[in-house]
Amino acid sequence: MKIFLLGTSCFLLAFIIQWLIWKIRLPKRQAKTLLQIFFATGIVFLCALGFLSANGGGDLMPKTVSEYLHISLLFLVLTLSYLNTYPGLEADSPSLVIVMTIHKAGDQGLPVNEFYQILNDDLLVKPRIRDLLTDHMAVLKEGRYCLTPKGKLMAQLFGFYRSLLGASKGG
Amino acid sequence: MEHNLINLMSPIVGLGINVLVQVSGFRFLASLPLLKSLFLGCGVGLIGVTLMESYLHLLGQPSGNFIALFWTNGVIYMALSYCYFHFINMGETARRIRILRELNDSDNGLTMDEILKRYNANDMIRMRMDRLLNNGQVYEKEGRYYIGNPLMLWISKGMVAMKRFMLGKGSEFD
Repeated sequence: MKIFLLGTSCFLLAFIIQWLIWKIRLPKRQAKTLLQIFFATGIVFLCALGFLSANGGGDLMPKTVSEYLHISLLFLVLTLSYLNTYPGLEADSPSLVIVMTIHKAGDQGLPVNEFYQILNDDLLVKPRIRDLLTDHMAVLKEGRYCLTPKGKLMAQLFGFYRSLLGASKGG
Repeated sequence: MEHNLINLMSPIVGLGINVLVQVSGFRFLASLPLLKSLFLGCGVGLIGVTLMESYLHLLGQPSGNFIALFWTNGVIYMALSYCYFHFINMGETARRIRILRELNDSDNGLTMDEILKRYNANDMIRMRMDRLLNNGQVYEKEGRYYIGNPLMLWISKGMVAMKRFMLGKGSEFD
């Protein structure tokens, strides 16, 4: 059980550090900062385990290389799961916006025409285009949005997988 | 039996089985919707992980180790499956990915107006409203929308509470 305990402890430690940093100041590029915090914590945690293990440490310390790899794998997949969930916190999902907008209208309901005026491109599409610029996936050149190599790679990766599934463009 | 590299393999092999079953199930079983193909892949992959772990146990792993390793590898496998689910879901619903793909399909990039002609809030809301109306989360009466089944509202309230806890605000526009 030590692999599970050490892997999840490392993840929880990184989560607490991130939460505290977020309370002090919300970074501009949240996903990138989050990644840096988690991987720095993971490396320091594994080095600390190695140091403690070399100095006695007790039964809870990992002994073999494969145990260190197993702890790293657990920490890595927990971090990736959290990283996948995080954009849902950072940006408002359209379904969430729809439901909360109708909920806020109360018992009298929300007129259909008013609904489409509230949920417009400024609220739902333009912030995501700005995100592409912030994350360096696109650049604005003479009024045109063009992909960077990083953006192209992402588009092609998802395009390839969608065609593998035989699915439409999505969105 | 001492812990070795084979103990790391079962969740990764399980993910491979998951992806293979999900992709082939969705492609070749016409009646299988995307969400169900993801559940099918996840379930078959989990069976694969269980079989591999049981095989390792039969090779002589002490029973205490078996339970601990099965639990740890089960968690790793489910986390990997969750990541895969998110990857598929991003391709299906994420606005950023859709815009990226529209930009990738154009030779010289797109202006804001051109992007909005190809993908805009009206299309996006219409697709999602159809889903919410069809499954009864929202209903329309005399030209007004109301909350129907409160499940989606509870999920949304949970997300807002998590946003407040993590980011100190309930919406990106606060």
